[in-house]
Amino acid sequence: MSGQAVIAVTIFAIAMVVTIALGVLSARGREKSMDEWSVSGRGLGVVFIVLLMAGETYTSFSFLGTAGWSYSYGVPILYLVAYLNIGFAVAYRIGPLLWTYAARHGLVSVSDMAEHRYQSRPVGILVAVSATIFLLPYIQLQIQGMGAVVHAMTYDSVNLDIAAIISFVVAEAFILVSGLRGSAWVSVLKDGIVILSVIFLAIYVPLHYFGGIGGFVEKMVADKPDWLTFPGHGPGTYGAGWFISTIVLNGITIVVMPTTVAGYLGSKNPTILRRNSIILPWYQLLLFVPMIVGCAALFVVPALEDADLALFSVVIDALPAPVVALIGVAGALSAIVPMSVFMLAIGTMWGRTILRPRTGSARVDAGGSGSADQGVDGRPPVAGRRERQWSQLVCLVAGLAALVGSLAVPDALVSLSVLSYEGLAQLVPVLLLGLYWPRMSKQAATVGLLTGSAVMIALHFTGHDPLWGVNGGLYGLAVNLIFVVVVTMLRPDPRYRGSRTTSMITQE
Amino acid sequence: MAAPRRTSPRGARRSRRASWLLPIPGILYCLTPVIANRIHPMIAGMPFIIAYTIAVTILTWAVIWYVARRDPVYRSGEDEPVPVDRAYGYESGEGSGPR
Repeated sequence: MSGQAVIAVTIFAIAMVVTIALGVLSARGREKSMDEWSVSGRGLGVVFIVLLMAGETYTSFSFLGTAGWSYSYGVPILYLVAYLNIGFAVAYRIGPLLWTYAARHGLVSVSDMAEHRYQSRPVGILVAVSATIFLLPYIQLQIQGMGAVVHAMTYDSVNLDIAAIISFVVAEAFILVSGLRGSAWVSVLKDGIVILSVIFLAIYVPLHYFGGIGGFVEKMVADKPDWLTFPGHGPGTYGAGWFISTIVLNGITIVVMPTTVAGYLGSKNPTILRRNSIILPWYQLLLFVPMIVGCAALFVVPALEDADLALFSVVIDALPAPVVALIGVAGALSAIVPMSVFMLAIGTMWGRTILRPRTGSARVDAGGSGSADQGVDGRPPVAGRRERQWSQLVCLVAGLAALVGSLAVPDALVSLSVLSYEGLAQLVPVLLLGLYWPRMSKQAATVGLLTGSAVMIALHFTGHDPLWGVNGGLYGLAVNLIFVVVVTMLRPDPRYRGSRTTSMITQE
Repeated sequence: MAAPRRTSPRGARRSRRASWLLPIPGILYCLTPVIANRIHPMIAGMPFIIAYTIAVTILTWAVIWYVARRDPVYRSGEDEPVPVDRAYGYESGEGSGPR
């Protein structure tokens, strides 16, 4: 190992130990209930919510993919900033809506909300399974992203597989013990380091190579104009139709992503989420920095084999080992925080909705105040503890599955991850429309979700995504909505069926 | 645990009209490849398309901030009205009461 590598590995190791310590200690003195683990007992204030949500949007994709896309295509990467901000505008109304519904009925995940809304466990299970299928590739993507970052920042001395295993161990260590609160605390460390390194890069990289940002822009405009207008450099896949359909689809989908919703439900009250929507658009300006560095790589490392390493190639070329290591830690934590929340979301959905033992109609927590989870004397009842244990087990298994995937078949799942947003988009009618439209039935929700997903998957695997320049997920969503409306209208309004109304009122 | 609060339907209907401004940033982002797909004129030393995106990003904050400022539900910190809950009788309209 070279001297530089020793410095980098040491800094990385210290950072990982600090991360685990911070994450694990954050749960000290908290009760061991399902609510505490999955949604921090709905007790996070505005600072934690903002940092956690920022942490979820700024993933390892921001360091690798953002720079990589800028390097390969150019302006189509602006879709990232666009859909995240559309998401915050949508979330101004939707975040508090989901929070209110979940808090009022004591619900902890999207599948739990679906089960309660349609009074149907099968609908909840369908939502949980479908969300899991489309989230797993995302976990694997983060694990592999972390592998790439750690491999690069340690000057190739830590092997990709070992880096993947480290990311898994660190993320599981604190998420299993501390749940969402652990992720929120680690987000504080992560966002601090990310903001510092990104601001530093924004100033240093253009100065170092081009004598300032002006010189850099001049060179881009003169030598690489293709990169600066749609459809960007390359075969022209990412044109106007793709851009518009993708930002609309992703902007709406991100607010019902099980991981985003986990963050919403952790909030102490709905106004914190409204404030979150006001604050976070500013944070997205940071995304322009990996874009600048990715484009700078066009001049610094013109013949890069793996475009995703554009940012780290520039960083390693320009900076001394301790700074490389610090930026590497920012990249690594950007994989670990979202990954931990993904695993938590999957665990919560399975523990509550799928693996909960059949106990007739009596749900552990269906009480209107949402406090049944605390049980007698403030101790969680047995059923609540069991749910939490199941959730933790699935959280571990999901991470393990993604880890094995990233070691054994690194390309298989990642090719699926491009489908993640399109697949999760199909949950929008069942989760959102259902809250706005009392008449919507469970049959409609089920048929819509299944047909929409089928259309989207068929388009993808027959090579028709995008179709006529429009994101395939949008066709799926359109079919999904048509079926939801038609099937709902075919059946009588459930509000006028006595049995259902009575049962819901009895629960309250 | 934060106890969920009652929402006042009357309060909720108190003009939340400003919410109709929320789609503006989305529309402007969608127009990026249509009206802003150019390098010149450069603005503040940036290619036009980049300057446009940054401007819309800051506008997103301004719009959401303005909507919140005009939103009675934001100012009172009430729960968000949930139509399905109102339909099934969970939101009884007893007023928001003291917190």
